[in-house]
Amino acid sequence: MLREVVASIEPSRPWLGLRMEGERLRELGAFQPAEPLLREAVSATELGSVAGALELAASLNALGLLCKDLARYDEASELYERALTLVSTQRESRATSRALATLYHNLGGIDHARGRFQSAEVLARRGVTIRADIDEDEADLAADLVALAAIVEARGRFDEAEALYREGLAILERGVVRRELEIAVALASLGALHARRKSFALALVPLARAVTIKRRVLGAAHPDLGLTLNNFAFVRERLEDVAEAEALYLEAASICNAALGPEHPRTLACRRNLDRLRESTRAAHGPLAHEHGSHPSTRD
Amino acid sequence: MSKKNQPDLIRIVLSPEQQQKVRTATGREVEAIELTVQELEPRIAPNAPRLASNHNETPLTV
Repeated sequence: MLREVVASIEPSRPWLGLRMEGERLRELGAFQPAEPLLREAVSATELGSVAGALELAASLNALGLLCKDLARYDEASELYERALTLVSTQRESRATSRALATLYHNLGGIDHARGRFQSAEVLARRGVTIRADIDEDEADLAADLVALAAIVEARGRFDEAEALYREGLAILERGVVRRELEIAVALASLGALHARRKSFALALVPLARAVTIKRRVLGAAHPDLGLTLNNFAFVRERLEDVAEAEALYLEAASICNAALGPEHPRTLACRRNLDRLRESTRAAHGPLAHEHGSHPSTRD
Repeated sequence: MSKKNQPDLIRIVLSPEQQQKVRTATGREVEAIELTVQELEPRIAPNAPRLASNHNETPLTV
């Protein structure tokens, strides 16, 4: 029913309504209902005689982002590659350069998720280079730098990663139009970097800010909030605030389980952290005060 | 007729008919308009879609 309604919004370009609604649902973290709309958007764009290559690339990219969210990395990669091939054959323009920069950014993200950090860095840097040449939207460049920083961090170059996070964050903070979610991602990533360096006290403030922003911008049930809550909990645990850490792990695991399912890598990571914390605390002091019946039912 | 007289700035010289339209509408004498590439693009390709990008955050674990 929803599909028919959104497709009818602009009958001559039915993919537009489908894609916009699919992207909106994805941004809300409603991944399951977003998927059929985005698949339909791709099909409708392929069939649309007036749809250009950029339109099809945008539909493929939107579905690719969803597949990455759902940890279906091979499928996401194929969709991005198709989009890249389409855009690469178009006449050079700012619009095609923008699309290329984003597709390289996203392909780098897939290789980052798959642990192929060397190729991820090559792809992400290609995106940054293209974006820097466009000289248009600094916030997009900042988002590219933050994504590249995560890859550089994964390769163990922490100082360089920190510089990139800070550069991206500075651009975002001075932007006329506040890109709150991008700011939250940069803060959360910087906090996680401090934690990986075992500078837990330094990690606390940026992660707390990221949680506050994500809760406001994304809502309380979004799996991207769940991810940052997990990382905030990890830092609280290392700072020996065990009760708060347990509550945060529990919230993170519940959110990720509901949005992503029990077998998603992010849900598993949150649940492992919660179980480990409880086991170590039980071994030291007996059961935690909050433990009775409060485990997220991720095995249901 | 147009020429690019500095980076990212496009100068478009108006025809006599176009100058007359501007004069009628605004009372001002305008021989040419200058737009940045950013200002011009939405007028040339108003429907070019923007692709969204992903985030690379990962969970902290032991």
